[in-house]
Amino acid sequence: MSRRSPSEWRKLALPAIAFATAAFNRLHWLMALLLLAYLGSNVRRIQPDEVAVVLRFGGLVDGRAAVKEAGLLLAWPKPIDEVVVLPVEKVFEVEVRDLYHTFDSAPSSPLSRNDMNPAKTGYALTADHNIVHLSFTARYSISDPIAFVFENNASDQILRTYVGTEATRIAGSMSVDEMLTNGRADLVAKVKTSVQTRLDAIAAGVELVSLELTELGPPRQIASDFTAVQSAEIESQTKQRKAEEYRASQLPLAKAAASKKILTAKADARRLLAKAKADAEQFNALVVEAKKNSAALRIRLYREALERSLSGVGSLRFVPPPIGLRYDDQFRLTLKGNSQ
Amino acid sequence: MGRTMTRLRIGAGLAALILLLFVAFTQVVKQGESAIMLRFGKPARVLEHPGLHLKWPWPIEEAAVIDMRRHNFHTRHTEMLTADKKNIILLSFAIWSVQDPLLFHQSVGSITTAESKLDGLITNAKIGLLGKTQLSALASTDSDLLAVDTIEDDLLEKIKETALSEYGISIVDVGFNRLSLPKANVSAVLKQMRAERKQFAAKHLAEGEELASSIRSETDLSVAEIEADALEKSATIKGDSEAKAAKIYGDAHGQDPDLYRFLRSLESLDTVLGSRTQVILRTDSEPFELLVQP
Repeated sequence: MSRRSPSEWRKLALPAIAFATAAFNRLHWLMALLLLAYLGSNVRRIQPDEVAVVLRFGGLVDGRAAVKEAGLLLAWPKPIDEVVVLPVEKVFEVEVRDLYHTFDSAPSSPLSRNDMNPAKTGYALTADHNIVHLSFTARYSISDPIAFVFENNASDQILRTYVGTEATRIAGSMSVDEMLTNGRADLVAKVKTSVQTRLDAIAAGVELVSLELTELGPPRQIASDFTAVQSAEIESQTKQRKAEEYRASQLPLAKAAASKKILTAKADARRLLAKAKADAEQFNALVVEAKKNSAALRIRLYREALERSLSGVGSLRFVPPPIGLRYDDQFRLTLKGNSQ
Repeated sequence: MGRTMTRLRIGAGLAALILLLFVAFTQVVKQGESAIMLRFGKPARVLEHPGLHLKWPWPIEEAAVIDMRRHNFHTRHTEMLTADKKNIILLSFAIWSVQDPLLFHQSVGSITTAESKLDGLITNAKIGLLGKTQLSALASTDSDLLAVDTIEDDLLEKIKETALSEYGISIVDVGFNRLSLPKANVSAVLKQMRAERKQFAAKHLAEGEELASSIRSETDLSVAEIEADALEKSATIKGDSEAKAAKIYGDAHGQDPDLYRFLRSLESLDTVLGSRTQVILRTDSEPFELLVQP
């Protein structure tokens, strides 16, 4: 292959040069537009829920003042300035499932009765050395944009680590029953406070807005045993309630009966006294009468009593008086009615 | 027109040249990073401050960029023994950053290697510490025995000097993000938990029965007390009233006892004679003598 001379190369390049020159001549206005677009590439509007951090040749412009609030931002194009926009008002969400049965949680997975691989299944050890599964949802916002982006690599992962760490620590101070019953709120509050303290201590630039305990329970292998305890508790409470119902019904009944008995006794006493007074009055009147004519009074009373008594008897029979002092041996009186 | 185009061409060429020189002779160090300038592969200087720095063009000088931000690292699963001979798995984390970029570059080089070194460092220190620590320091119902903070502080104290002096790494925070039991021990714990639950279930049932029985017995006792009290009060009322009545009768009858006896006899007559009584009287008895002798 023969080598080409420079003049030959020039001849070959002439069409290309002619094309570039023609393009430059005709498209210079387009290039001017592109230049303007480049110069304005970092002029942008920052939304109300955002802040922007301006870096000039990689460094913060005016230190902390590099954080620009919402509004129009004027910055040089790259590579002079770089603008990092952060949604500081937005609440982000992180799932923390490190202490939950994350990897073998498929319902179809075989579940050994007494088996649990700690490398695959997350859990926390309680103060009384029982096992519980926990998962959280942590919601956070960016409190310090510079710290969030330029001082920490993946602050959300640090937050996730801290939630797991503090949950492990607090679980180690609570019994399983405390955690599963009335200690849930306390657990969440303590974890949240401790996590924020740790985040602040390393200046993570993150504020933990809320922490929600999404799952908390015993290992699935013994979940039915925990359910049995709850059932026993409910049964126990039912028995207590029935006994309390018995007390609630019996005591008022007894009090009512007692009150009735006392009131009846009072009424009887009142009647008895009234009768005694009435009888005494009547007797006193008879005494007065007897003092005037005792014999007449007695005869009258005797006759009245006799009339009253004999008018109500079953039968009244008369026999003649005996001749002499006693009846003859032949005297017979036949009584009718019951022989008894 | 031709002159303007020539100027434009010259301007474009100059701009391209400036850009080329900028790229070749400057090094931008971004916020959160450091750069080690290697001259023919040998570290010449460290650019620690973010901004624009001058340098010789490649291949004379090139930059090794170091991420100076804090990193989050988790250790691997390793079983270890506590002082009370309990086998546990204590997963740890470390929040770390590069403190000495040159030393980091020379001794470690990359984040992956750094974390591998940290894993060994932390695990060794942790095994040593836990060998002197009871399990109750990590999980106990007695808050006085818990010492997680102290163990974390001791662990930090134990590794931070080595990490800084050997790897140029500053450990900001260490802790334990999971406390687990080896697979073999979990079986025993589950059995124990199952037995405990059965015990609790039986206890709940027994306590419920006891409490219910106690409430019923107390109720029965209270009912009996109420009834007894009522009986006592009614008897007192009755006794008092009878005593008062007896006094009234006594006072009245004392005025004429003979008349009282007479009236009482008449009352007995009324009481004794009833509808089934058969009375036989002599015809000469008063007042029936009138029946035969008018």
